[in-house]
Amino acid sequence: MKRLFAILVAALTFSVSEGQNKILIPMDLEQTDHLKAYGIAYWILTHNAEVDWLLNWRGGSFMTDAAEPVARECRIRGVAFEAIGPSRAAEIYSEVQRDDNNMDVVRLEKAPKVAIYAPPSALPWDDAVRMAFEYAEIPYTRIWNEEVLSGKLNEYDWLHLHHEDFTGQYGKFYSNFRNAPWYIEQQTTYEREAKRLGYKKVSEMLKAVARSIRDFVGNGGFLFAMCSATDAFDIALAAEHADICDAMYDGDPPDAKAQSKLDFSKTLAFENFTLDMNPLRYEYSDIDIPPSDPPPIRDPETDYFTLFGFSAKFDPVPTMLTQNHVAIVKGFMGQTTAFRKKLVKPSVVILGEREGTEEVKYLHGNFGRGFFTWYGGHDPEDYQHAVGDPPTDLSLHKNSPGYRLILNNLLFPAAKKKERKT
Amino acid sequence: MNRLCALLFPVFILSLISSVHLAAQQTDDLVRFRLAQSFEQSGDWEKAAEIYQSLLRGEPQNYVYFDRLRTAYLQLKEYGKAIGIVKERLQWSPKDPALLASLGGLTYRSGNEARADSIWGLVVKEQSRNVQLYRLLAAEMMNLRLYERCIRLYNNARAEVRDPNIFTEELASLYVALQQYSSAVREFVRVIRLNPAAAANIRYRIQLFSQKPEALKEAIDVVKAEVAQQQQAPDVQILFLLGWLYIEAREYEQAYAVYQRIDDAAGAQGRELYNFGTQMFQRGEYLLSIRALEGLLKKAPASIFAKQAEFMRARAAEELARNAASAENMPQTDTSFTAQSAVRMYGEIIRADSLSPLAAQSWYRIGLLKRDLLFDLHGSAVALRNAERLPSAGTTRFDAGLARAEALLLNNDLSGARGEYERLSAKTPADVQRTAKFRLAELDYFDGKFDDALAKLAPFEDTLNLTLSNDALRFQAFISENKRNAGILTAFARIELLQRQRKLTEADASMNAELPAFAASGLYDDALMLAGEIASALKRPQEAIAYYRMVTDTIPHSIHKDKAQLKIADAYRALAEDSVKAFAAYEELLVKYPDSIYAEEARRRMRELRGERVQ
Repeated sequence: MKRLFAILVAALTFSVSEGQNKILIPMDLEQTDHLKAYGIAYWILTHNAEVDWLLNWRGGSFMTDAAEPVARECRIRGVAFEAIGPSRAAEIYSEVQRDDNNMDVVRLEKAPKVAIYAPPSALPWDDAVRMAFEYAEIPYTRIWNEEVLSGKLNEYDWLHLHHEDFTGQYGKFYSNFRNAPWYIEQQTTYEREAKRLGYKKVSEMLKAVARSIRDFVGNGGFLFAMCSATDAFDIALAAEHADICDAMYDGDPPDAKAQSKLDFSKTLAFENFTLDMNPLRYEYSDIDIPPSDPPPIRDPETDYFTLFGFSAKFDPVPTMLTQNHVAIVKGFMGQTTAFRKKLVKPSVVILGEREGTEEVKYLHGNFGRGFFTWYGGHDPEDYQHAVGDPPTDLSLHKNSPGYRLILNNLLFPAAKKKERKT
Repeated sequence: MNRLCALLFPVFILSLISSVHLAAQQTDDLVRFRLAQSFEQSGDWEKAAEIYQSLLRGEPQNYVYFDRLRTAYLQLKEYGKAIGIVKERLQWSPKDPALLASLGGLTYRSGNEARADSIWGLVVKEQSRNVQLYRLLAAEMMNLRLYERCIRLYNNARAEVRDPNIFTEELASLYVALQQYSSAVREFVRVIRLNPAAAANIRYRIQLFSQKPEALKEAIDVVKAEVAQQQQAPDVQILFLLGWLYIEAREYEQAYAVYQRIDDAAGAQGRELYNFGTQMFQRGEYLLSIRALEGLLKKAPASIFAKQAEFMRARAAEELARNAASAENMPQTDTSFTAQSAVRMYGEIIRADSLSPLAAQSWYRIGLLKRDLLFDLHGSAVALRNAERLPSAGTTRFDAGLARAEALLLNNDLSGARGEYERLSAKTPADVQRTAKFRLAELDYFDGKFDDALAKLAPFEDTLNLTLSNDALRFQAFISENKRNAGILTAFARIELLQRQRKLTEADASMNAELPAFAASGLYDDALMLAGEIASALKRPQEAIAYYRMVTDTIPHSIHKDKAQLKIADAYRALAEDSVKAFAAYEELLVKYPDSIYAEEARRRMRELRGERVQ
């Protein structure tokens, strides 16, 4: 304790220069570690301070009141910052809020409480969001079916899903991995879990989980899904009254009329999709584009997607979600790489797409009082991730634009609600 | 005749019509069967079922029609209808086990679990010792993913057949899948007992889950209990399994106890103790390694492993001595194993057989110990020379040669060192030649022959992919920058040599004497850094900090500023044990030199000082 106190005293040695009343964390190419910068913003919020998000200004920079602990934390985490005086701060605010600039200020007030839906056996490095959070030092709680079904989701503001399969088809890994120990163990674990929670079938349990998550969004929650959790989630919701699982998944054949029994009014983002119920195919439906089976052959060097620009003053939410220091982002694959545009509901806002194609990479929508964002692909810095691949070392990708999009989603719920201008 | 013809003709006509009709009927059935199959393939099970239904009505005994219709009903989840056709078929062969198994499965699917169980019971009722029937039922249950029921079935089969060793593989796999590790390991133990040659495979299979601590603990408990039951005549393979599990769990003491038993039980005459000692050495468990190896030497002094064990024991003792001597002590130290005791151990090996390869290795190790830990540089050079001269030394002679040259340099015998390096810089393996040439350049530098040094370093520019090249290029740049002031550089090189020779007091005195001259030269910052290092080595942290401060505060364009700042912080932290000032000094580095290559290190150390766990 004495030691800690002494260190705190020592810490006062380097104070932010006198006369500087703001700390600016630039998010353009001057930033040394974009990912940890989000962690700093989150850290400030957890210490009951506020952060201003300067939308479209220097890559979506952050500004906060000058305080030595903030400066120190930036130094320790390797985040570039500038201590600026009141006149410079006023100048920046004035520039950002000028009517003829597509910029705005959003005040972040409260650190959202974060939950990540993942089975106990899931490893952090198999989920880009968990990796990003671990790297950016953002705390989160891992939850699973029991917590979701018992209503514990209400304790959180923000939920992430990665590549969990809510359809009950175990990720459709049957063809290649049915004899792999991890696959067998996964299936038995889920079956035991379903039994324990009172469900006859895993698919029934997972559909109930999907419905609970949808209710969480409807009640004002924020849902961020990546990779196959996106389409699998909507498929599970649409298939509420249809058995789409073949015998190797649940012991009985699928409903022969499953396709016609899909109810697209229940889904969040997609409609009119066609199921792929062949258990030997590594694909859920025609939402995923390019399809994962057979694995697509693409040149990573030419695979990019474009972020759309939005009016910061009129559409602050999509603007927040697309803050970046680049407008064109490296593509990356996953079990679900991107979404077929014609199957995206008209009410959904497309945030990023592969230009000139049918491929939507990043989308956002409202449901009830809440929001959801879907981001295709598995890991923004691992072009074609495969089962068993080594984890991505994010310290080598500190300025990853692809990872920034993930972290934008975390801060967006922290924003103070503003009156809509439209 | 005519009458006969008149009689036969209608019969002929009738049979002709009948056979034509039959052939047409068969063709029609075949066409309809193909049609049903194509409906099946397109997923239209309803239409397929209709056709199969009518085909089966026409030919009730046809198994293919029956099987396809049953499949179609299954796909349509028409379990009642499927049950109906199976029951009809059972009328012809009421005890058909495959049909009964299928009926049970369909009944289960229809939701009547109790009835399904009783039907499955019928399958084995009359032939309760028929192993194949259990397999048939198990396959049906596996299709329904009824793993636990399947386990019960196999266990009942064991009781009925009165053979506790049947279905071991099947049960083990099921238990692993259900994460019932204790039961799985019990089955694995059974497999090893039945087939000791399967031990390696079983170890592999256990390895697939033993990384889970709870699973590993369960495995150990089961195998331990198993071994305890066989006190008198333990199965060696089971003991091996237990020993391996203990090692996996890092419970090395228990593992040692098991390996002692293995050695006895297998009549290995110390071989297993040697294996264990080697494993412990590789894992850095030197004390336990020594105990195991001494156990072998006591138990079987004439063992073929005894000599190797003596050497390994000396190596473990040497490592303990090195750990104790290092600035950052390793967790495991034992003062009873000093450098002298290790030297004694190596000496015994040499005395026992002075011409053996182990004797050459031992001389080499003695040479290193005397050089690094005992500072007996003459003794070191002698030992290393002995190692070099032994014909049994193999490639160790080159390592010994390089080490001997360094010992000579440390003993200030620069010409002796030069001779040795020159000898090694030709007709030796390429990496030895390169090292020798680099060291020769160092000697030139210490002798003030800077152009010679640069000439020797020049070839390294062509081999940038080598680790040594970085040092060579840095050294080359330093000499090139400062050689125009040869007198100053010579004085600096002399102090560096004294520091290298651990003549710290002399080095300190020379530095104090030369510092004013250095101050007027381009290597003042290098001199201050060196002065700081000497003061640190002499345990005078405040003085070291003062020198480093001069670099950071008084030399505007020094390239060592950030390094000096790091050294200040390190000195506060390690030497002065002042974590408050250390934290502030690290932070100062981040403030003043945010782009420094030492910034990451400073951040890491600040986190450590804050009490965070840093990887």
